[in-house]
Amino acid sequence: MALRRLGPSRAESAASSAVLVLLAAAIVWLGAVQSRLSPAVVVATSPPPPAAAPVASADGRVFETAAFLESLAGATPGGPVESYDPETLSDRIDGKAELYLAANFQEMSVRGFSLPSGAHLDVYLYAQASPRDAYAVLSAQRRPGATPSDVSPDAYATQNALYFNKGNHYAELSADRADAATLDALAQAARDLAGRLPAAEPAADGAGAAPDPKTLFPAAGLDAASLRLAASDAMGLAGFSNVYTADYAMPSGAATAFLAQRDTPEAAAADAKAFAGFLAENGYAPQQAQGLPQGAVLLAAPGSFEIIWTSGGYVAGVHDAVSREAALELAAALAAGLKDAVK
Amino acid sequence: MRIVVARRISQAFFVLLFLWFCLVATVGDAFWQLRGWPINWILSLDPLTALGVVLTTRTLYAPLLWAVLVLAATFFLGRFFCGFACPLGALNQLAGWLTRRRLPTAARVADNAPGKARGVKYVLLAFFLGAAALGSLQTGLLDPLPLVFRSVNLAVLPLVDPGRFGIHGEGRFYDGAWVFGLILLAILCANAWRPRFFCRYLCPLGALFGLAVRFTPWRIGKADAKACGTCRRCEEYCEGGCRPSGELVLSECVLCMNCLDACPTGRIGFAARPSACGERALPDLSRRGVLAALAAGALAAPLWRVGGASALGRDPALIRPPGSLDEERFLARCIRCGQCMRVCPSAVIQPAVTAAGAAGLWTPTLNYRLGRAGCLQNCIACGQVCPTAAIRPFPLDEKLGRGQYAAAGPLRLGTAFVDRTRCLPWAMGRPCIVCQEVCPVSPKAITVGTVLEPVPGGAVSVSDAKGAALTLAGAPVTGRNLGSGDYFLRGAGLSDDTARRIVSHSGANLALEKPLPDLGQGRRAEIVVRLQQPHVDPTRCVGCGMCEHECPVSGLRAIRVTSENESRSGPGRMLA
Amino acid sequence: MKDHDPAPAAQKARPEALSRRAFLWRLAGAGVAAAAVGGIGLSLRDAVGPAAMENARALATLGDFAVPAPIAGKPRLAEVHGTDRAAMFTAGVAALGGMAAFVARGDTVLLKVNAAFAAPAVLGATTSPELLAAVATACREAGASRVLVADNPINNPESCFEVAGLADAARATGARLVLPRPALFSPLSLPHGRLLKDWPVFSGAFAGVTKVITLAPVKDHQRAVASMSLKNLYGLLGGRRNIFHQDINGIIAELGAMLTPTLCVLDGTTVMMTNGPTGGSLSDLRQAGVMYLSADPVATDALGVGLLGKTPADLPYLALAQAAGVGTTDVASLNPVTVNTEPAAG
Repeated sequence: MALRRLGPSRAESAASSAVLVLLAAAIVWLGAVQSRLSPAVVVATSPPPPAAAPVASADGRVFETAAFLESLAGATPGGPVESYDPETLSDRIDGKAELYLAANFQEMSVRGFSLPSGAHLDVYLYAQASPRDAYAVLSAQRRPGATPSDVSPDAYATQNALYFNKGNHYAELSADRADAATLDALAQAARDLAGRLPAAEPAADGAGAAPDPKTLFPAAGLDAASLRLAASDAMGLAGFSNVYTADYAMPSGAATAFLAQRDTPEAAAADAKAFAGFLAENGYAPQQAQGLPQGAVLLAAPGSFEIIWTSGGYVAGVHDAVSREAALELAAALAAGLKDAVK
Repeated sequence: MRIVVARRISQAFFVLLFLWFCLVATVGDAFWQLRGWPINWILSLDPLTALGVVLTTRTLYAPLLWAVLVLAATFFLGRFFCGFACPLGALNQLAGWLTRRRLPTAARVADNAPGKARGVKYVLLAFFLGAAALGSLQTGLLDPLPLVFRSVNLAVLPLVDPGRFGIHGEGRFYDGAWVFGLILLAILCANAWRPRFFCRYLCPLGALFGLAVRFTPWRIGKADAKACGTCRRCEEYCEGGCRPSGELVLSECVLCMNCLDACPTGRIGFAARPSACGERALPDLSRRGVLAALAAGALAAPLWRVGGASALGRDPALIRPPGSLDEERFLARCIRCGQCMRVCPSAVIQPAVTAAGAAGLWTPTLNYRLGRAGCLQNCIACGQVCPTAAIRPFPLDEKLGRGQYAAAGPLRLGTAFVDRTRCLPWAMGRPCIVCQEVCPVSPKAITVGTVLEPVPGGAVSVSDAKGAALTLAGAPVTGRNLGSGDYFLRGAGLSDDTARRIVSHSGANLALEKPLPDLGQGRRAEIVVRLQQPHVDPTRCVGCGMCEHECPVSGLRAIRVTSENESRSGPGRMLA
Repeated sequence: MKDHDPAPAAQKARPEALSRRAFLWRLAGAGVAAAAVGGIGLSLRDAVGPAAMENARALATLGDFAVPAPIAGKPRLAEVHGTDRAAMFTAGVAALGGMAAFVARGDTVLLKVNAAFAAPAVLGATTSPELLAAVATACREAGASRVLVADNPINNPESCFEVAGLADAARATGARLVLPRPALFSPLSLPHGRLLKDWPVFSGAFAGVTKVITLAPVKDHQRAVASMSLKNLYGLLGGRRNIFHQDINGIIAELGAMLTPTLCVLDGTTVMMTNGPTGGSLSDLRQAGVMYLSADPVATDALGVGLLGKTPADLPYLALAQAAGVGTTDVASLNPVTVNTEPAAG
């Protein structure tokens, strides 16, 4: 009767099997459940909510720039379009927003794309108030060493990016790679975007039939890449706005020409006077000289020469020439071109 | 298969599953990350948690229905959970086996005899249930499942975390982790003295199960009383210490089934009849002790309230995770399992040592210094993993105050306050403004006011000026990098508008971005620093603590979040 | 699972039968326990989890206790001059159609006094006990079945009512004090309210109330410029209400929308001219000898501010309250009457 049991009874084996079956069921259940992602994981792995979108939609604003980024030839959208107005721009481009705001920024949309080469492409499309403002933001941040691009007359490209303006829009396309395939795709995308952007309306700029000031700079010695439009505070003078500048390398030394268009000759004369006064405040003294353009004044400080005059509605001048000769030479060339424009 | 083999497989399964759940508590969709793993399943099996939450809230949060199933099965089968499932029980059993291998049989048998001390766990259970009945849930302090999760989450895994398993590249810090580690170590070491020491003497969950086994139709027992009682092999490895050879102490049997396996005569069975040598339902219990503990527990909750730590006198440093209930209801649910602290991607959720008072020991609080960031905007993990909804499972829209929650605004954890006596731009004239940059709220909750302040040693006189290039009478000694763009030159006595940015500086030569206006006689000027001084907009601040975490004043931060204006407190907010 | 031992010998049949019966009992016990636990668990089941806030159900207002306006042309505001508050109140109510126009037989009347501070009545920081006694008596005489007196003061409630003499006045006239207890507060969310959202208010004092009369002194107030009929309603707020000092005019206007009283008595017999709202010195007081009675708290306040040497334009809340439809600052539209209780003295 008191025998050592040799093996488990049938009931014991059945109970053991039942335990194992329950564990197996638990494993199957766990396997099934783990594939239903927790909301925490869904939230963490989905793209972050666009920060500015709720703000924009709250005031019901419709961003016209967003529509241009719906699709882009040869590129695949990699996220939603995010749009910003003057209130929210600094959330996106903190630090550089001032540059756009000073040039009558209207709105900006940005979207990420991926290119067939595998590169990531960010496209920023800014709308400014006028074509002149768009040109101002383009020219103010022209990268040194950039090459001109055929996308638009003022467009230029760097190793991995392309910048152009068309009408009142300014666009930046920058890729995270610099290989040839990426650059080709980038140029293709830029041409597609440029093709869809509206061109400037001929009389929209308020400049009437007057020629574009930037065509009036003399060609000799001009560094074409240096042509800029300062939207505000040109050459350090607060309130001196919409001034084109261009750098020259003359045989007699370096100098900068500037040209600004005003609505009336009186306004032009007032600006010229203000600038001359500003220079005088900063230690420049008037000098007499032969061969100055009509009505011009020459102001000099050690190593720096300035010439200012007006011609019709234009304020023109030479800024920070290294020598008196260079200043006079450039002034004469600029005045000659200007004479043809002002009839 | 023998039932003890099945039991070992089951124990191994639950221990491994438990470790797996601790390991995968990392937000992510890889199989070794959170995915959809039900990492609270083992915690949900806990009838003590369920009973405690029912007593404090008069409701049963749906996932805890698992515990009802466990309790119902216990009524029929006995303490199967202790023997087959409890991960801490299995670890105790393993530790006991390892440390006691060389003991002689007689010593083993003697250590497994029932004794009066078994009653202690019933006293502890009475205390916890008494406290729960009056609204304070303290079961998690000793309940083995929260205890083992907390210990492994906050002490064991952080030891092995850095750089291993590819889970957390950086180490994670937990306030007072050594206590959790030592408690776990002590619990495991105690098995060397008595097998399953914790289970036998301290475990309030075991006590609850012990009370539930009174009616088990099937139970361990001897078939007949004759010709037995000498070999005691059934008691050599008896995990519960329930005396199967003699008068069985029913409540202490943990269904380890070792007696059934060890009996040479096959007299011990798991059967539908009482043990032939008699049974008793419970160990010797001091009825007075149990009643005293019940009363003490019931008194503790109101006393804590009198202390005011959960209401008016709350430590303002107590910042609960987003979605936390108001303090009273939070303490009615939190079991201190540490799941939220483990899953938090920023590791900013910490066990409160003093911040939440005695009643809130080891409940979660946010510590922006110990964490790796503030509370992330794009994260809802803590609410999803809380087993008792002390942190509600809130959606992202609610956290950010979007969509249907737009009217209520975002979930606020507190408000950041700038300590102007420590802030670099406010107190020390140094540019900084890191807090404003990292503020993730849009529009930002931190704004800046810009001022120009004279730099000590920055009074200079200009000896020569050529346009924007100046030569000073002497090189200024300020100890600052004046060409960094934050420094300006301002004519003595002139307004801030006339200050010009210093573009470069070497010795007595300064280059400005624009020429200075005429300084007149004496040409005196001063070097000023442009400071952006932070201000917090309390209507926008959500208390996420990014600013506090990043503040370069690394000790006592110069911007700190305290719980004012937190959403969970409802009326009594700081702002009208 | 069952016993592995074979059945014992025949003589054990009886114990086995016993054992079987015991087994069935245990089975039943376990079944009942499991069913009970399962049933309780399921009945307490909370599938959605706790709400973010308890007491999500909030009141919209404390109620509209206005009586129908008198026919056009009858006065709706009385200005009473004198020194004896009881006589002034009686004369003022008489000019507005008598107490019967406001309190009917069987009404339960709540008198909202200003008992904000534990300061003696003579300092004028609280509603005058004489006025309280007079109004409570008048309510009784008009047939009110119960008269309640309530406020949620800043200092300890018991001592405020005792020290200010209001407790004695209430006891003497059979009115019952309703002191604030947490259970008497419940959240209120004013429709279109900007400040009063989910805010605890003294709603328990309004249980069964059918008429509300406010009794406010005229006081200088550091933050709000003046504390009169509308500011008096601040004493119905609970919680950490001082956060509303960040927008004092906004909250006072919303208080008017929160409660429409039956009658407002603005007592300018003694006016606290300086150091309000606590005062503390007799030199802060001026005997102005005026009392205003109207159902319109905006109108009483528009007049009362004159006693402080200021104009309605100094109280931005008046315009806000008028815009919210609480009342009017155009006092003339209420056909005001002026009564002198002491012609010889006047």
